[in-house]
Amino acid sequence: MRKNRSIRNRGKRGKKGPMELDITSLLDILVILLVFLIKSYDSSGYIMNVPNGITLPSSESNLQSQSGLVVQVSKEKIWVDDKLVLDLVNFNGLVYGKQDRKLNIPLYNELMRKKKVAMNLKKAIPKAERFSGVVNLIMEKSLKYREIKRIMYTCAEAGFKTYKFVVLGEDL
Amino acid sequence: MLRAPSRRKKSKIEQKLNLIPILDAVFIFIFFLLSSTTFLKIYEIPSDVAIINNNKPLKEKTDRTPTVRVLKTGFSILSGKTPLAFIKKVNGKYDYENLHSYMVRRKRTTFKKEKTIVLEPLQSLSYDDVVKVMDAIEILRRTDPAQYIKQKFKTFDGKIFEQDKRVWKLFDSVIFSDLQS
Repeated sequence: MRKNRSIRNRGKRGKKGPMELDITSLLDILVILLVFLIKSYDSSGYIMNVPNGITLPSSESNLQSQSGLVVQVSKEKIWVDDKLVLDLVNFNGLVYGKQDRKLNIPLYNELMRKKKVAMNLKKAIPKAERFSGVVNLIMEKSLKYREIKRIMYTCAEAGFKTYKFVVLGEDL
Repeated sequence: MLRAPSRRKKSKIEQKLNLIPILDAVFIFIFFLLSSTTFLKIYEIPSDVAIINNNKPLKEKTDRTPTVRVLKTGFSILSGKTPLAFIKKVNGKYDYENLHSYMVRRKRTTFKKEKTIVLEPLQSLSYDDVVKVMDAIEILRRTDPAQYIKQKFKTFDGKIFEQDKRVWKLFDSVIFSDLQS
């Protein structure tokens, strides 16, 4: 007590040092957040868009999705790599072939175009990836099998012979 | 000349770690992870197109291709063309659990060497149900009895030996048989 009152400390009296924040709790939160984010980090780097109007079915599968052409199918629309190829509400043309009634013509044309682009790229650049024939199918879960079959058939006819059904994991 | 040690206590300044740089790094890392994290776990189920060839069909005795037909009343399981079992619907719903446990049992006996399973769904079956059937006949769960296959290995001196390898799938791929029809 006497020490503080001494004349030597007269200048220092009343002056407070810089306030120090206790960041231990903040660091705790950050570490927890970091662990959670690292756990849910997808290292494949492959992003797939699920458009509005598509609810994916859930599955027990735990196979990581791979790169490939993406075909998204809702009840009324079909996209190929996020490009709308068929909107049944505003489409007046022929959807299915006259001879081959399972072939979805707008989808087939787009798939053939994509295949041609991939093959031309391979010809021009030998180091480019070979046409894999893999198609990732992102489909609405309420679609009937007869509709899915037509999509799969069209993909097979266009040369995409390996299907990957994109599903939601159940381990969340 | 040596002095006697002072009795005054030297004020010790507590050394504190400078956490600012590490906090900066952690913040940047968090923003990077936040922007690249997918909160939906998206997986895939592979399937191939059935290959049509002009070879003679297998004899009924030798054809053991496992086939699952989804009917209105339940599942029909066949080995080639020979019916093996029928799993009825329970309370108007498909019994996926029963189908799965039956396939696990059959994999140990009848379908031990088979790698592909054929699926024939009902035309009016929803995609959600098709995926559930595929799960039931393809995936081996952690709670199921362990299954092993013999795998051949070659040592550096050229000797070949067999070793058991645990498998996590009942069948490698599911094929839809009626795509052409």
